[in-house]
Amino acid sequence: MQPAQHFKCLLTTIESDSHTWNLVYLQRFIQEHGGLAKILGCCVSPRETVDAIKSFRPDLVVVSSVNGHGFHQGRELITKAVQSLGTYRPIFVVGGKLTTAEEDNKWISDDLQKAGYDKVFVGQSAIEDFTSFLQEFRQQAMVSC
Amino acid sequence: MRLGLSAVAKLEFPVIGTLTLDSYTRVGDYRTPQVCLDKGEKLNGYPIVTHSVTATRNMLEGLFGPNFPVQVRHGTALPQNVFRRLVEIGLDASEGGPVSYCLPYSKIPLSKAIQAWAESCHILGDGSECAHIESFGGCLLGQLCPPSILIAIALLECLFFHQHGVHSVSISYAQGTSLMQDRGAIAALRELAGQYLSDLDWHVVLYTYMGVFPSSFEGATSLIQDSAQLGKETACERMIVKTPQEARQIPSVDDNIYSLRLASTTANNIHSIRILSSQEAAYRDEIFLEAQTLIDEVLSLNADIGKCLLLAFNKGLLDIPYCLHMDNAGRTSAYIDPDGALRWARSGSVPLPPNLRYLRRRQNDVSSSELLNLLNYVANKYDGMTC
Repeated sequence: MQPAQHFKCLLTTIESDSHTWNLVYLQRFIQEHGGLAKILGCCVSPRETVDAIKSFRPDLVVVSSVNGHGFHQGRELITKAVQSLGTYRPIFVVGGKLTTAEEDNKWISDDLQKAGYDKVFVGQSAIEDFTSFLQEFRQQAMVSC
Repeated sequence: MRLGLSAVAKLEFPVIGTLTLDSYTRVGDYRTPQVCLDKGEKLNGYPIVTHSVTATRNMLEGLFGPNFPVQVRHGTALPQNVFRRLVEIGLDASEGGPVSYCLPYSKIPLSKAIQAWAESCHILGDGSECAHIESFGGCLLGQLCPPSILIAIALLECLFFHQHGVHSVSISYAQGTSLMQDRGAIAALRELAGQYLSDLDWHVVLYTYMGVFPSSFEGATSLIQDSAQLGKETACERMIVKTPQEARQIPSVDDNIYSLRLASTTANNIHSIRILSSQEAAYRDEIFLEAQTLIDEVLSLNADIGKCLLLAFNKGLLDIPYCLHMDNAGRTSAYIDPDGALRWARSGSVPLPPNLRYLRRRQNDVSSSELLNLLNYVANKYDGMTC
């Protein structure tokens, strides 16, 4: 049985990434944390993501990528989303393996947050940090309901 | 590319060369590889459409021949141009399939991939005397798929190739989570192939485990050895090996040579086909019945196998666990039972025989934390950790 759904989440990835196990895992994970998770499959263009945000109107957008191109294409995605969405602004987070080198994690986190992401989840503690974030997000969603 | 192929060709045991295409060619972009080549940038595979026919023939000169067949591996759901180029070069062996190269890795509608593969089979079948295609249906997403649906899709794809003019095929099967279940599955696969592919020239190709790989050298080596042993004991005619570096990086030529030798040595130490234990025979019988039911249901839908496949996915009769493609119903999931065997957790509308002994439908679907454990089950087992 699924728990009650307290927030709407759009789960997406970048255009070059055909991996899906990360998305399958996260969809279950978000649902278990009280989210209604809509998933767009693999290899999603920024335009598809933006269109889905406009029609689905999620509270949270999760961009997950593990092919090492997530930094560049994730940056493109947030830039396009910020430009196209106007005043409607869900929370945006991004995570996974976003470059091919672990040592990049610190500076790419800063850069992606400057570009518009609210949170970036990379490295060993990514799942743990995302869990804490989701618990807090759910609390806030329940309060605002 | 030639360096790797000639190193493999020089090995003292029977080997097949592999020409793996780059990811631009995979999505039908033949211009970007040229830009990369002009700039001296590396590609992650061989751009067979971008290179001229002469360039590829020169690259293969003195290597490709009756003693060293070369198979082109491409990963594309729309392979017409790749197959045309194969024929121009004089190559005749490739792999994939309308389902197995569409649903797991692309967003192309299944109907379009089926049409494209029908055309591609005719291109290869009409253009080469010994056209051969290996169905990738026995691998699909690489892990967490019950053996019966892998076998059913692989055999259905082989029948599709046959219907479209390719009469020499191979049936893939990816090593799963239990050697006993795999022995039973390959025995069932051979019996079913004998039954359904009697008009075709066929053989079985075993893949070393395709999912999350052990990160330790010892664990990875042991998993590769187990796959080689499995292949030999079950009379698989061909196998595709991974390297101990799988979990970390793209393997070098030396890594590949090491793994090929490791597999060959392991297989050479086994001198007979294994008689199945009673547990393995029970797996064989269950998987045979499940796969046969699936194949017969699907084939009963239409005389055209492409239409059968499309209808079957549409109705959820074929439904690949954890596959997110829009043409997959997505009502199934799989788990690993306490004996290590892959089982259906939710079977959706997949027509499974009602009387199967083991078939216990779980109350709960697989949770996210269970899924993580399942994905890492083999890696943890071989790395010597507890799940």
